[in-house]
Amino acid sequence: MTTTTYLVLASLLDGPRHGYAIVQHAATLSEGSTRLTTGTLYGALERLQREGLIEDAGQEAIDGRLRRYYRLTDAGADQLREQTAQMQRTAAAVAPQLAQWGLTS
Amino acid sequence: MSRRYVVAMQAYPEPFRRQARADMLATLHDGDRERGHASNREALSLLLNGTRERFAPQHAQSLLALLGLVLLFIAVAPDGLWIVQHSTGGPDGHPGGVAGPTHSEVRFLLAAAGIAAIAQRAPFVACLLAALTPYGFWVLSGISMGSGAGAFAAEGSDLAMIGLSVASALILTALSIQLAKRAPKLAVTTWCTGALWLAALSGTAAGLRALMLGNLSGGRGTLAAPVIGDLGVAFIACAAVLALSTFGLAQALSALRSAQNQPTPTSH
Repeated sequence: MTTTTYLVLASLLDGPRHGYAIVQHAATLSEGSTRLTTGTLYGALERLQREGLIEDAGQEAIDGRLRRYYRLTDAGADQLREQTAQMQRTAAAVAPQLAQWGLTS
Repeated sequence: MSRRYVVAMQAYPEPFRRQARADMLATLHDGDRERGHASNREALSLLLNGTRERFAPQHAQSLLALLGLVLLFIAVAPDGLWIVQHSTGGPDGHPGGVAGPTHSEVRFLLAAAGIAAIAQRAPFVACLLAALTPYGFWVLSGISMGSGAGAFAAEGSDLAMIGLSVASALILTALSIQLAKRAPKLAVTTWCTGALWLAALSGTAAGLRALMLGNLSGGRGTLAAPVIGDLGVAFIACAAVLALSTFGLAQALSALRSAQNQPTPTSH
């Protein structure tokens, strides 16, 4: 799972969001290190929808512009949980080695 | 809205634009409002991601079908040319530049790849081509109009012939299922992909056998041979089939992944 995919799924964890809200929340989650472009975001959204990890949650017109909302499916939540656990296991395995070489911050 | 966004979005395939254009423009508008200006990075990203989407399996069927038609034309055109020129009477009965229809696994390979590519966009047309092309060649061969009827009635092409016949039957079956609407879409996709794989694999086997045996005479029968040589034609044919097989595999994996995730329609 790529960082983009992970951040998009994670951004939908606490409820449906529209495109720009996902961009903002992903930036917050990554502490500003990842700023999704619209092209990258909608490519990921299309793929995730096709794979059944997210789904359309309706649309709403705000300031005369149509915004489509997306939400996480159960399958998406499962994948997010598995990926997070995997990353935690990897980090747990690497952390002692970093400490051994005096590379902890 | 910046004109460069609108222009860059033309890189996306039409179905993608129809589905997401309004939403994407709203997101771009929000970003511009926060930044206070349009972004070159956003425009470039639209261009790159749009181009990538255009060649993604789910949007590339039209391009592949066009490529398939070209491959099929390259494979079968020599017979037509030979027949036309032979009937008008060349100096020795064989027109220059085209050596006359020949027994050729290479040409089968081109035709099979072409039909497989067309099947991605128009399975029914591909099915008709898969069924009619070998028969047409066989008939021509029988009445001595183009001994080659070439790739399809060739001695030693039995494996390829069987592969194409099986593929044709499987595509027909898949279409029947689709028409009957008795199976989910995945079943049809899987059957079609399986059929194309069989055709591609049998064609590849026949082509590789021709390469290993050095039996490249069939390359002379293709229009490209005078330019890139018999060996070049053979390698391009193998590469075309390999690319299509990879495409088929990618699509099958994508369909399987979707199927695994589909049974969970409830939202989180």
